[in-house]
Amino acid sequence: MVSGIEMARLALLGTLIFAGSAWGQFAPDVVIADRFLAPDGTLQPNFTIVLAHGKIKSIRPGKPPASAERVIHHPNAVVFPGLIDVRSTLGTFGATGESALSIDPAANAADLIDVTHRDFGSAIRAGVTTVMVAPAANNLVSGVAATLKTAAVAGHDRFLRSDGPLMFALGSSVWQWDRAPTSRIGSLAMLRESLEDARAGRGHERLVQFTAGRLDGIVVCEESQDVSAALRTFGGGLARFHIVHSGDVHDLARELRGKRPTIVMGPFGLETPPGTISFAATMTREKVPVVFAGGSPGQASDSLRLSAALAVRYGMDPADARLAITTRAAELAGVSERVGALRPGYDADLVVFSDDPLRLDSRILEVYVSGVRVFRENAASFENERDMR
Amino acid sequence: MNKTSVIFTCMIPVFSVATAFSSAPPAKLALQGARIIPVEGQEIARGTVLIENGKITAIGEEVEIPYDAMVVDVSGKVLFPGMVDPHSARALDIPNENLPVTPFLDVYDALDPSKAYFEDALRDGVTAVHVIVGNNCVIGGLSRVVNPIGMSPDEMTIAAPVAMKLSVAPKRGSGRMVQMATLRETFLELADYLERLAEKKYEESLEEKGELLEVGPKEARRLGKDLIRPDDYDDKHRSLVKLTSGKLLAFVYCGTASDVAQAITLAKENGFFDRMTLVLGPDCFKAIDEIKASKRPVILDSELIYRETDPLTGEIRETFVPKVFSDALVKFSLQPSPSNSLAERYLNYQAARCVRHGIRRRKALKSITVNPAKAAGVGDRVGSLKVGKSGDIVVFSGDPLDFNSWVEQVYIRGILAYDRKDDVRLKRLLGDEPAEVSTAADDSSAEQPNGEGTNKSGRKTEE
Amino acid sequence: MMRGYTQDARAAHAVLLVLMGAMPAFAGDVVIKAGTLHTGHGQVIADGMLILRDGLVFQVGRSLPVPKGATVIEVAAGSITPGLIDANAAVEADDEVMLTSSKSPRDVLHDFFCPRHRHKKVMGCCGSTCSRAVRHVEGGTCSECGFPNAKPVLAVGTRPGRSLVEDSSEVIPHTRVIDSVDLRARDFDRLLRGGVTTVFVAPDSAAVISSQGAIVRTGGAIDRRILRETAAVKATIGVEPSWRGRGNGRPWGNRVTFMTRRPTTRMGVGWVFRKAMYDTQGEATGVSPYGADTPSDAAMKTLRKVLRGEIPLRIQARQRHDISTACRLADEFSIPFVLEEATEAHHCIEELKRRNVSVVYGPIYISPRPDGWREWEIGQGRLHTMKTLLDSGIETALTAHELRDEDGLARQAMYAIRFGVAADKVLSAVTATPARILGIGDELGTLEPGKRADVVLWSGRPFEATSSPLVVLIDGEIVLDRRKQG
Repeated sequence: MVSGIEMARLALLGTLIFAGSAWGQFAPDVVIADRFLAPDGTLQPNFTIVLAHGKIKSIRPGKPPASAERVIHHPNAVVFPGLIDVRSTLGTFGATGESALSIDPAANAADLIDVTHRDFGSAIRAGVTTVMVAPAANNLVSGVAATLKTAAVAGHDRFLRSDGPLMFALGSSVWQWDRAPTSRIGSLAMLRESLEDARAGRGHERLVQFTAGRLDGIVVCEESQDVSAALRTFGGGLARFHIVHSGDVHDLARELRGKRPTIVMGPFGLETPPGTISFAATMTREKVPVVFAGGSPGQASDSLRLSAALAVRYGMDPADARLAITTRAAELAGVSERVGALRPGYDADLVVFSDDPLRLDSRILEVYVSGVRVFRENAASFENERDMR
Repeated sequence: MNKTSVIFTCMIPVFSVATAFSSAPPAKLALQGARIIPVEGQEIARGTVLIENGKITAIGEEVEIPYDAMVVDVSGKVLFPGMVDPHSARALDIPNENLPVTPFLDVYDALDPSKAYFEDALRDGVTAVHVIVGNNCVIGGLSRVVNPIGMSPDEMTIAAPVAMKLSVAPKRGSGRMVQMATLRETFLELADYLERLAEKKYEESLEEKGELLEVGPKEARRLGKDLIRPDDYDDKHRSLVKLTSGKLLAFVYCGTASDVAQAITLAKENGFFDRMTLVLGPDCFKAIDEIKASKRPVILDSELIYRETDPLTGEIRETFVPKVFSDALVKFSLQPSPSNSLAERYLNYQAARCVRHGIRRRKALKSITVNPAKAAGVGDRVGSLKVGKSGDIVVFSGDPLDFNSWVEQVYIRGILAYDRKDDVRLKRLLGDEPAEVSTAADDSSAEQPNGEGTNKSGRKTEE
Repeated sequence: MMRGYTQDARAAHAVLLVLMGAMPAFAGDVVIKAGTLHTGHGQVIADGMLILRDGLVFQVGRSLPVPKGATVIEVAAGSITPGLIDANAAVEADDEVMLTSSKSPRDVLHDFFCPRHRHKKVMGCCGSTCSRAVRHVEGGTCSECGFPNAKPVLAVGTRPGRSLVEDSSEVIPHTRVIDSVDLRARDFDRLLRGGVTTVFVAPDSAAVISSQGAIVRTGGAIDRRILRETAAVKATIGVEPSWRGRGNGRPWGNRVTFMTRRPTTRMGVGWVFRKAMYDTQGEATGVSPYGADTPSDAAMKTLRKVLRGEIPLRIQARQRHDISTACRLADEFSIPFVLEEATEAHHCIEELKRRNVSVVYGPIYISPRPDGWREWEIGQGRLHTMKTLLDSGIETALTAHELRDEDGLARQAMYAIRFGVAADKVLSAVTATPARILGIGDELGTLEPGKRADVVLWSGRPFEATSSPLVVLIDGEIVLDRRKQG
């Protein structure tokens, strides 16, 4: 019962003030995992994860040390790092679009996020502990993205990163009728110009940094031809690709081969054509890293797991699918030093699943952010879920 | 080009040949020395066609030429029957009326002899056109077969009335259910009308005799049936009675494959199944089994290739429609494209495409001559070079399926209706233009929308 | 988001293409034998034979020894030609409508023709422009023109309208068509089926000085299709830039805004061209350009290269006075150029000859007044223009432009033959000549040892009404094989 109330308060208020120690947080010393996500994406059995000060202290096989007081152990459970949604608009009220300038590197998504927004609660309940929020893809250069935790824990900053990656966009949402560019050819020409300027040291500092390789970038492409254009414009290696209209990307593998950008796909639904989904498997076979986007809160937060599960159904290796919603996503957002994997020194963002999360009948038992439990499953939590809506 | 110059250039050939046409035809004409493709019967490598009083009287390698015949040396050329356009509304000012059920209409009233279409028909070797209302109707009206030459519909007509136009594909603005309901209702109303008419006729006949009506209405209707004379029908029902009593052909338009079964049912129910020709939309080949079983002739859409996209794979599937019919041994007729600017406007090119896609040459040739002639009810008079048939002959410079062949001359009923030598307009296009015509064509950039302006003003000048 | 999934049906194709892509590039020698072999520079070999090796033509001749393990393709009644090259392909027009129709796009667009070419309401049902690049939002009727709620008219290859028509300026030589080319578009399949293996993807004619065109192959591996990303800058002289594109309204009062920058007359078109060139010249000498129509820096950078002759200039002009204007403008800045479309070129033979202008002529319409909306610019075409151009010694290539009927460029060749051009000259006009004009003559256009092996095997004589391409090879690889269909 108590945890039910706890849950309700967390979901409703989730703020820095209330999420402190006031209502008796639970922070375990040790989590025993019957299976846990290893860095290679496989599930390894019988490990003990030792936590300290919100970080993972060590991961080792066998039993917990005798000194451990607070031990969490769910039989048959699978422990995952917190899931990461790289395509979220949580806390922005959908107001990420700025159309004053088509090249707008100064914009920063961190400026528009309301960290107290209640939608963060539903992300937590789906096991999503980190989200990347980016300015909308309606400018050629739309600003920098911000990456933050979905729950507040006292003594830990919500923001993992608020200065990147730099977001680019190609495709029809960029072309607007009352400002240049108005077309695809115009947008590419304009982008090429500003990149050229930036290489010569002119233009906004962020673009200069980007062309010098000191700032990472993501290109949002609507169609496969945008991807081809991006490959030509940016050259290999500099940018990561984020494909929005993933239905159109069928035979990109050949073009992407050897260039190895990360491909972001999804979210997939049951109505997504198999061909689109199987493209994910094709890419991973070509050793192109794939990340699945969740799209919360527009899409259900569970869509991350659904995307991964569907990708496995259509040929993806389960290990790749697990990494696509954790480690690879963290790499894309540029926060892979802290989250996205179960490794010593990383943030203790853990999700305890009742089974492999690729199995859609698995449930989330507990969620930890920076070592603090922020969600615990029981009957009441389902009711709270209903109340929330 | 300003309007007037267009009209003049368009009209010159029409006027010149028209004048020739109205003068007395040569009683006997021999076309000598050409390769003859009669379409029905064996090809003749070098032979003669003799035409007397507008009809073919002899055909062969050795033909005895009467001393008083006009002999035309066409050696090196190819004689081919005048081609037949089986279904054309392009001679009408508009293809369809707004009213849905118009069996009382006759294309006679809307046929415009000055339409550039007829001029092009001659130029392209078409000697008979089945003029019929368009497909956007429920019951459209009566059609007729005309030669593309003459100054009035009467002068042009070679057969009328020929067919009633019906459509089972929904008229624009209505749905499929309304379309079928309207059709059924029309024929039910006809039956009702006939019964009442019979009853009335019986009563009248009694009155004449001064007798009193002693039978019930049912009996009166039965007895009165035979008393009906053709004059008794009103305009609305006269043509429908002709249709259901076997005096008219039926041209039934099916827009999609699902319409075919409807058309067959409708025809069977109302007694015109045996005289029905199916006018098919591009995808009707999917109902090939029904069409084959019905053994009815078909007229294919001018779009010979049907393209569709697989909804799942996105692959384009192309079907060459005539091949489907050819493989199923269904007799088909081809239509020329309504667009003037493409090669598909030539019926012989349409046939050549059939050969390109693996249909036998003989069948392809039939589909632009004999088959459309039969479909339009004039198979006994035109469509092939045969003794007894009308002297409608196209003189090609080479094989009709060779795109380089030109229509050199066209004879209709043995009269020279078109000669490329005198085709001023074509000459001008090919660079052989008289000086005064080319100077008249300077003022060009006027931004006027296309087309009909020519014809409208064309009529004006004529008046 | 969801739209993307349900809309795109091509996805399942993906697997197939990817597997194809995994094939080795050059599988082995290919031997093609046919009744006649046309090398493309006038030579015709009876019972000819062609050996392809490593994607190149290895040997051309008669009864050559067949290399071991070679794939042999033999069609006794057939004939071999180089792959056709369209030097001015408007890879445009819509997918859906075109798919169910062999009508010319001009006709199709005519069906959807908006009598008012100008759409101010950009956000209305007509995406941007109504004239050439109609992109109708599904499910609506345009309040201005009553456009039907028909299938959206979408481009293939290049997407039309907003994709290819950059409305922010009328001088956009810094933009590149290649950015808008979808190499996976079905339009390329259609070209390929017609025997066309290489195209110059033409920029749109809405801007006075338009984009840089690209040269691409129509088939083969996706990553080897682009031959030249930037091949030439296109300019348009004529009425089109004055009413295409954005509304082209005259300025209200004295305000010249984003919405009112286009020329509205032929004079304006000439002025914009001139100003762009003078501004570029002036800037180089330190005079900073001014005025509302000043081209952007990026545009001037490209124009400098055009003025120096580093990037070829192509000018589209249809009517005779436009052709003359093009010649005058080129004289003014002493830039050599290639003339495109050239509908009334038969009136301008001397002018063109004197300047040694090459022409990419076409398309030919059988009727001089084709149904359609561009009639007033092409209404004075003549069927003999191609013959007249060739007879007078002007280097002339033939193009089908946006026409994609059953046989496309082959049909244009068929027309040209009907209208008086000798068959071998016509073949050159769709192979060797366009290759030369495009500057790829040393790679493509003829079947000579050492050239790239782009080959079409026809079922009969080429450009005959009764024959069609049976097998098409690009770089020695079979990309189309219709032999089984018979």
